[in-house]
Amino acid sequence: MQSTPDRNPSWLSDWLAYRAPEGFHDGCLDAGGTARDQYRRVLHHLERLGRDGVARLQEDAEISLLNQGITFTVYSDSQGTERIFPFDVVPRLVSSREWAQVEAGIAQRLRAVNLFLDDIYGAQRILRDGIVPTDLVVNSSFFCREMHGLPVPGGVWVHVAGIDLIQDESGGFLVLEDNLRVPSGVSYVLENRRITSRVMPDLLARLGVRSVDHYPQLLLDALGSLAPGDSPSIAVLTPGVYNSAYYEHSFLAAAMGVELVEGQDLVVSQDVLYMKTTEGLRRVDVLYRRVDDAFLDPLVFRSDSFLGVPGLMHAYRAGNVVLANAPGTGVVDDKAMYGYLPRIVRYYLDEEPLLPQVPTFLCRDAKDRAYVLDHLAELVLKPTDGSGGYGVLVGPQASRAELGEARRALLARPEGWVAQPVQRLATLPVWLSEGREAGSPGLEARHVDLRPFAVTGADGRSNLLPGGLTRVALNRGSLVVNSSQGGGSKDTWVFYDGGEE
Amino acid sequence: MLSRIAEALYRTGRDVERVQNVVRILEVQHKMHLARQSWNPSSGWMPLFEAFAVEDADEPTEEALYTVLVLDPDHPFSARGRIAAARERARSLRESISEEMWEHLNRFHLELAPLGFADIRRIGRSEFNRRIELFCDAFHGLADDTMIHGAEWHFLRLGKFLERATMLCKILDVKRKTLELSPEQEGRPIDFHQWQGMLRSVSGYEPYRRVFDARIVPARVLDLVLTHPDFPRSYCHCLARIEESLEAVASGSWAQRDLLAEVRKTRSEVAAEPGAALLHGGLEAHVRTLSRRCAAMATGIENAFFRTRRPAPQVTARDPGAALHGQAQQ
Repeated sequence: MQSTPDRNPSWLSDWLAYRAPEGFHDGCLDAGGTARDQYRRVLHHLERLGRDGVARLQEDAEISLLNQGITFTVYSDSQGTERIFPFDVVPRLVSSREWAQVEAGIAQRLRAVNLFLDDIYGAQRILRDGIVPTDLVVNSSFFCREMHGLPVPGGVWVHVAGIDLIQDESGGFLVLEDNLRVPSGVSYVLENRRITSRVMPDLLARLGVRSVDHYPQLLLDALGSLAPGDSPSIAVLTPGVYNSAYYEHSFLAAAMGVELVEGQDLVVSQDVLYMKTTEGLRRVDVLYRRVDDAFLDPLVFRSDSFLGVPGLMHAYRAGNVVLANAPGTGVVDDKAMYGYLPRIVRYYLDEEPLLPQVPTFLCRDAKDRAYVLDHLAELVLKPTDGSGGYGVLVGPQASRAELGEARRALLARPEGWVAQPVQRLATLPVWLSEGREAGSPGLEARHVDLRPFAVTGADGRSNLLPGGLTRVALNRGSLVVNSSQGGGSKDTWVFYDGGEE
Repeated sequence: MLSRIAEALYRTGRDVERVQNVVRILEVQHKMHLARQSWNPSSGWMPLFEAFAVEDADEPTEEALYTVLVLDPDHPFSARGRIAAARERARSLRESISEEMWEHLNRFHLELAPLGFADIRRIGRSEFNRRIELFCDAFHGLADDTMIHGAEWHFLRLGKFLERATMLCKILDVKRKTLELSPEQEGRPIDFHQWQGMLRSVSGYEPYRRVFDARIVPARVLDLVLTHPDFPRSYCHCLARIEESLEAVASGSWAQRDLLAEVRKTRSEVAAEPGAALLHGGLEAHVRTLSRRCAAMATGIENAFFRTRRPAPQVTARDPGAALHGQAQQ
């Protein structure tokens, strides 16, 4: 940890230099402001391209995204404007050692989650043993009574998981959030790689970066394993073109070579699910549904849903179709349940969690609540059933009025809130063509998180895609990385064993 | 292929073809109107109001017609409405149509969406009409040249040719009313303009002169637009293309076989009817029959490909007991 400028490698030109904010881990620079070993070759590459070269690289990448139509729709815009999800050309690097840790941690977590789901929809041992409060489970808006007593293939409930990770001040990975219902973003992982491999192919090859483009194959294999027979019929269910993740649904269906269906394309007859084709009805064995539980079947869940299929749950209970993910997995997504996850891991696996997580105060608990009320201005307050960053109060950035409002909301329904210390999200350099503090185009530090994707088939073995969506809070100093709130993304390069040497 | 996708392609084919036909009729009428204004100011527009079910207009003027048939967002024959619908539908067809087709459609929709009648007047009606016609031609051209000629293309094409045949019947009906065809009236000076207008309404004036000669003979006009196998807008030509596409998307269902037999029968009947025989009072009934056949084909296509049918064999649940009694079904 030297801070003397002469430790800075002489080959790092001034125009490439940037300062990481103090008190945060920066993935690229160490505390002394020196480039970490694994980033040197990337920085060196950028240096050889020159300032204009990097700017061109960034521009190429953006044009490529726009031309490919890799866009999301801005709902509030009546013209239905499609924008690109901002992309930063400087990759995030993850060493094989770091990745092995993440991989083992997520596999362990998912193993515990599947056992937990099997238990709460079955014998409910964990509730009777008092490890997790019963009301937290059965009163959760995501608890799915219809799943009670229903076995799922291989005891696997979560077939596709997106686990949000952050890095603490020391650079260690922590779990921030589990997305176990219909996580999205994997298409951006693949597209980001397609772009980096187009604009810096040599570097990618030289560094020994693990590939991610086999994801559709991984997913297809996992989905195929859920139904008997050699070639089960698989379809992807989308809410339709107005869904913000429609691009991903269509991308995955096309990449797997299966049909992309909407609710109106499906019909249940005699407890069997069919899709309506020009050649008549064709049976569906496995449905990779990207529609929330509540909209799956108007006969069982929300009767006003046009997105689902009447009778689908009946066909599912009859064992004639498999849904991935299984309904009811959202119980674990709940922010309050997150607080119990370490206990769940210990209870089922008799192991210590390999991946730590963020300390969480449960406002349902009187002691925690008192602490939260006393320290509201230092904490992040989150609704237990929220997602996408909506309804989150960041204490240190909140006005007095906002804090008062939050206090009232908390007291009105304590069980609906949890609080966490403000996370010191790690930073990484991003390329800014304009709006940089220093004026001229160059690198600047931005806060990031990481969402890797794990796919689990009927054998229960989780396959973690070596890479993931590195989300970037593009506004200077912002800690909110959600794409709905001004976030962008980076490609994530995971090295082969020994690749970074 | 999913019925929804097939139907969306078929409707897109119909919509684009419809837009072109309506606009071509407006353009021909506009030109005839200019030519005749000196002696009969309000003539000509009325039959179009009837043909396209344009109501709520105080006066049958050109502006009223444009307001509905070009600018109305909802009217079933309006260019703006049809193009917006086709573009909206195309969002779910991105995997079925080519990138070029999507871009072409998207761009034209964005161009058309903000225009009002004042803009059309500023651009010039003929220039505006020409742009719409060119858009439609280019869209079909892109479909032919950038899409795989598989089932997707055939459904698009089914829509295009069925709409073309349907619109031809409408045009014939409008013109018949204007001509008030009867043996006594035939040959009067106005006829030349009307028959020429009919040819122009189906882009047939030039083909007519090449196939026949510059002398416009009503019986020959009818032969060209009804039976000529190589004139791309003749009724028989459209039906021949519909037959090809129906054969290509074979699902082997009875509904499809019946439909195909019906189309073949209609085509041979129409081909056997010379234009001269229709000129003395038979045209109205003939056109009505052809129009009914088009409607029947549309219903036939919907039933054969887009509507749910029950699965043929009774399928029973694979093993309902296992799922309910605690055994995993692997």
